[in-house]
Amino acid sequence: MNALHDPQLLKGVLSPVLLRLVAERESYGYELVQRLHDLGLTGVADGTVYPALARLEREGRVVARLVSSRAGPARKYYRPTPTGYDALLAGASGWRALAGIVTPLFDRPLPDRPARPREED
Amino acid sequence: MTNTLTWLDHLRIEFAIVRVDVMISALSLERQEEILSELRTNLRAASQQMGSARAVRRLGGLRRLARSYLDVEYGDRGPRPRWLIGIIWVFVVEGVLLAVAFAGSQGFVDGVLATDPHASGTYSWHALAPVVGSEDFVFSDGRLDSFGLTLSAPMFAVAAGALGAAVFAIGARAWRCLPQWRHR
Repeated sequence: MNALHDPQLLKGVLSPVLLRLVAERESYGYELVQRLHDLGLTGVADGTVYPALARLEREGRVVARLVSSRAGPARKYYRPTPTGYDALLAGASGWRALAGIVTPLFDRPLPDRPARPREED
Repeated sequence: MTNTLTWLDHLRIEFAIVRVDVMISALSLERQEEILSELRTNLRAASQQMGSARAVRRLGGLRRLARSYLDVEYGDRGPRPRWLIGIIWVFVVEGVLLAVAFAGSQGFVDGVLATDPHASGTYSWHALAPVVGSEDFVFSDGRLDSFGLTLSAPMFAVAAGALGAAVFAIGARAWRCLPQWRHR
């Protein structure tokens, strides 16, 4: 399982990512799934995104409106609220700070083998 | 590429919707409708792109999807009992039983008159006697003059109370008050 398919890794960052996407362009649920896939996050299940949107809406971070569609029933389009913008900024800042610490760690040369147990002093 | 949905696609989508509906029944009807309507829209859009079988599969498990929606609503407190639904169930069940009892007594009257079109005197209907009491019908030359219910009060109170409590508990899903259920 690589990082793009690890639900635990994606879970923590999904809300800020969704906020970022709807901040760029008002979108409905399946459209957001497609945009995530276009980003390369192909491991995100559709069923993860829809409740995440419901949670953001319940927390007042996005608002939704119904827009009629020629392809079928009206679609629910989401856009961020001012609270959502603040959460997006905080989420992006937190992610950068975490990546700033973790990335150099993983960039260090990795030993060929796992370290041996330390001998008692 | 956008494909037109076939009846099989619609059937598959609706089947998934019904399954989710059952699993999120703890939510208010309005909230259920909102969620299912949006889910249907998204599934249709996805099905037009990749076919309904794959679109449903990409939800990643309907049980998990439903649980996620419940988590959004209730957090880790778990679903709550639905007291109002319990009360409604009590009225519905008691109403149905009342209608059945009325139909039974009406059948008894018809039976008496079918046996003797000129029936006179008092006839007692004992079908509900063990629980409710007997019902007496007074006829005069084939005409129903009056009727009355003789309640066996203690049994009636126990039966009505037990039935009402059981229906209320089931309808309201009262077991959700139990700690082990609240943290499921």
